[in-house]
Amino acid sequence: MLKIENLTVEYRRDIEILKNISLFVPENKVTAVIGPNGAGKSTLVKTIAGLIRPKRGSITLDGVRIDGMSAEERVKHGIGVVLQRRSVFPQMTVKENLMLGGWIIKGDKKALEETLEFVLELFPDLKQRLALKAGSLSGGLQRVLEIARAMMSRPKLLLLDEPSAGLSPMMVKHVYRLIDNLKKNNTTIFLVDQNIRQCVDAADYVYVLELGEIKCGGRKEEISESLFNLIKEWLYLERS
Amino acid sequence: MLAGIEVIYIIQLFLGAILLGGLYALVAVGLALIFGVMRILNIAHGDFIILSAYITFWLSQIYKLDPLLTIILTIPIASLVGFVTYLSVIRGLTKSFEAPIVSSFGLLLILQASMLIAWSGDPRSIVTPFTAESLVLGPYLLPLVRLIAFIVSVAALTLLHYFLNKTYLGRAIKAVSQDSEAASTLGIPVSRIQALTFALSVGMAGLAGGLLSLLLSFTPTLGPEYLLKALVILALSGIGNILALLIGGLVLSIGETYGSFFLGSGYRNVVAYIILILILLLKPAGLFRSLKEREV
Repeated sequence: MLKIENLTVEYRRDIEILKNISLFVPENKVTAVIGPNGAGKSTLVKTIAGLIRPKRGSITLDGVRIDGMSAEERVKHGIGVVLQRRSVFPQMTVKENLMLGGWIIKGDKKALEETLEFVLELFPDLKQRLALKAGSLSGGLQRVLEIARAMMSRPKLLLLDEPSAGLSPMMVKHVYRLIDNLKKNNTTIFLVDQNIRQCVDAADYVYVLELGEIKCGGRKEEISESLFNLIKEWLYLERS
Repeated sequence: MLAGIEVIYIIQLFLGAILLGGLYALVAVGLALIFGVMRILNIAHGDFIILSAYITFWLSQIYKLDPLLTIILTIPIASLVGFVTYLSVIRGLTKSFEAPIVSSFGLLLILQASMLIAWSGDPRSIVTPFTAESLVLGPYLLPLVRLIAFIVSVAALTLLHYFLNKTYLGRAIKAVSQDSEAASTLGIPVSRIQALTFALSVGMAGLAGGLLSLLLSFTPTLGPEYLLKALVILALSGIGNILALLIGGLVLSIGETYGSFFLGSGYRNVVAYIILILILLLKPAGLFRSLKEREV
């Protein structure tokens, strides 16, 4: 599905945020990237989404190189994105937000309507709120709307950047239940989150990113021991 | 008796100001569109209006067309000018706030110089078969050209409101204005939407310029005066609401009309400056919003 090879990203000259990263995201699975603050997780998501240009390396989706494409073109090639920050269009209704998510299929009214129906089945919270202004929703529901909106383009790969950031514990559980539902619906998900426990629980594959480098990665069960040690190390560092 | 005549005169002025206010809102709407979608302050906006007045004048003189029909031709020509301007002057500068101000100021100078070379500095105006006609309403007269300009302006603003709020493309323009990065992650082609918005904005300036050419005389250096009017209206109304722009246009035209009546016509622009200063001092977020809302 998604293959990243030797990816290097710098913000300013000579400040490398991601250093020679390689990883693979298999189809119909959840792949999580975890790491402490400043590890470069969001930079990685933004680079895959086309919002940041890499300095070196390649990103390939289903055999097609996408690293030279704009963010808009990548959506057409099957990338759906939920940004870390709030990104609903607050002055538009929930339905208008969702319909804009289907921009790339807007020419096919039937497909657009069917996709809306499919998405509302996956995210029933939004069904009763279609006419509400997106800005009037709670933070948690705005997050749900962002994920639902990204699903409107029927992406091959859904990128989720910190889906639980700033949410109450109850809402975090709810959002992860939705992620689980998406997984059951065979959506390939690339997940980045500070909430290590929920994130690792939801994942099939886990990569550990630290200071812009992949420390370890692979099937969750295979790397559980090194994962445990690394998390212990971060917790110790944070406490000290 | 004298008091009666004065009241009639005051009301007559008020009616004239209302009719002009619609056109003023049309003058401001293009500037609001560009600023809302691209966060670009187009200093050359007033000069696009004057250029459009000259295009209308020129077409009606050369082809002897009905001036109202000529305006219909002016709109696509102005839109094309806007599109080319976006590609050549604005496109590479959209990430900066200052650079487009400088480049559009350069464009202002080029447009003014070009218009002076092409049409000289002499005032021009278009005389239509109905220039001197008025609709009589009891003791009041509604000049027909002003009435037409008002109706066309309100109709254009209503259509624009419908386009922005009820069509897919219009909503995409609003999405780009609210969060261009999020819009790009949905596949919305931000750069193309910006080019379309620029063309639409200058097209609206084209309509405003065409209508102005029927009402008032114009010279190549009048552009900044209309930019000022547009800025005052934006300060009054904010950028997100077309009805608010219409009210802002009415407030400015009423202020200008009574200001020039009581103080003398030379003070017309002074009134606009005074309104701008008062708004910035007393209601910096505009008449219709709190400062907090406006920051969002």
